[in-house]
Amino acid sequence: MIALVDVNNFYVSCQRVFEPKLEGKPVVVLSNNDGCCIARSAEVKALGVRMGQPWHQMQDLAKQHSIIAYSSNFALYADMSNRVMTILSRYSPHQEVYSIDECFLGLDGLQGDLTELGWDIRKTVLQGTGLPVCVGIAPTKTLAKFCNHLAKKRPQFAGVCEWSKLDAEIQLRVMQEIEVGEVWGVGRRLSASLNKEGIYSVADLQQADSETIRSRYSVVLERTVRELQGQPCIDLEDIAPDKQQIMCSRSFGRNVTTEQELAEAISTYAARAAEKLRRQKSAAGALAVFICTSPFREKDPQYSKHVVVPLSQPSDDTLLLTRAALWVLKRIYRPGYAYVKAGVMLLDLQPNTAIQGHLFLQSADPLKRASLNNTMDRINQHWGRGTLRLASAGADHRWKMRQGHLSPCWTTRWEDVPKVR
Amino acid sequence: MVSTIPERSIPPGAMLIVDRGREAKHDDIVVAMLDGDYTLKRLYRRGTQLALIAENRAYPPIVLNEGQELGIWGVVTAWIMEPQ
Repeated sequence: MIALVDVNNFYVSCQRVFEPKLEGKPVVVLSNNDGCCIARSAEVKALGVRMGQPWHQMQDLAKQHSIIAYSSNFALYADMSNRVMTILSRYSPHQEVYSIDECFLGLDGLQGDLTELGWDIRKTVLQGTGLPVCVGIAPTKTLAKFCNHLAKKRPQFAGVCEWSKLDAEIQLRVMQEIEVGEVWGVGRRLSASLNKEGIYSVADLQQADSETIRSRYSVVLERTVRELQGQPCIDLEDIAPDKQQIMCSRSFGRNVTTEQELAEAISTYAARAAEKLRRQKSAAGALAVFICTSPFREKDPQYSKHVVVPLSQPSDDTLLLTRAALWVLKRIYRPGYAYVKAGVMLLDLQPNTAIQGHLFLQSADPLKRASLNNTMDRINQHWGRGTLRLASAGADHRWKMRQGHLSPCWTTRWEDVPKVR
Repeated sequence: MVSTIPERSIPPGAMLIVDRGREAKHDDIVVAMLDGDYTLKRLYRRGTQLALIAENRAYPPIVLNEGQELGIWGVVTAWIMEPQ
């Protein structure tokens, strides 16, 4: 048996833990640059606000209903996520953290009633973190996801839904009632195509012929069908696989036109990406840089360029990777455009133990360089991101994203610890 | 400045260690949520009777009726003071 536990309206719930006055009020969390809604409280959903709706489009609604908006505070969410995952790890030796707010737990071999275990999970996480979770329990990951959906959307389950406790008749009925697009791994595009084949509900997909599905769609969707039939096909991954590519990109808070400012941004992103690279003990064999103007401003001249360069030797060195990224930027930068976004991507990742010297090696002593990077990581970990950085990353970062509604980092900064009277 | 804090025990400006995972017992000092704000009180819990007591007697105890949701945020387990 597998449980899927996930936090209800995770980002909004995190904000509420530290500001009890938000309870019962409509709250949204906005994406980078305060662009659009990426989390909505139940009250906001009831007002018909869609996921991804641009914040500037809903100013009137916000005023009318006193909607409270927050800039996303990922320091807070990551820390709260960590707390939730730590509590959940007590319930099973097999935990797959699937995203910031959800994880699978392998429940095979556990004694006792699993629905009661689900209630215990809910109570313990709520008590320990203040965050509400829902639990879906089923023989397969896909069904556990489906049960979690039921647990969340249907009040009669009170937050916990165990597949095998439902009568066959009810199992069929809920599958008929829910659209196929809700199934894990079936996106909007795929469900549009399934609809054309006459597959509308979860039940339609579950009863589809798996052979036909495989030949018409993919092995992946065939596995989904089998999983809906109760046959486990997707294993738990206890250890998250290392990333195959590392991306660091941001939209700017305002238009950027000068090469100088773009260079600061690219340098900052390259350093950040290199840091992530070293954390997973990888080295990059290639690097990509992109810059682009806003496709939404149709009247402005448009330019976007994405260039990949191979490195003569895989590297995890901030200095080398930054130099390579700035070299690319110099070649793709064109004056006279209003840039809104830039990014650095590290590709062809491999274990950093595999780094080999070669005949034309010209970099500084690799051991010294490794120790420099290591020292830089430790300083930045201790004193905060960007404390020690290359001069090319610049100082005042006026291009940085807008975060006009940022809440304090309640759990990760001493100055921000909540006050009580 | 900090008037409802149990005054004999916790000095103003102290850094509190608050355990969320612990169930609040009678006579614990708790951080509770009241009217959308945090408040620091001593918990009175006898049978079905629940009340939040400010150690400063100028403030009357807040008696909680049955069914009234008592949001206890956490139990104070220790506090830290900087030397004067």
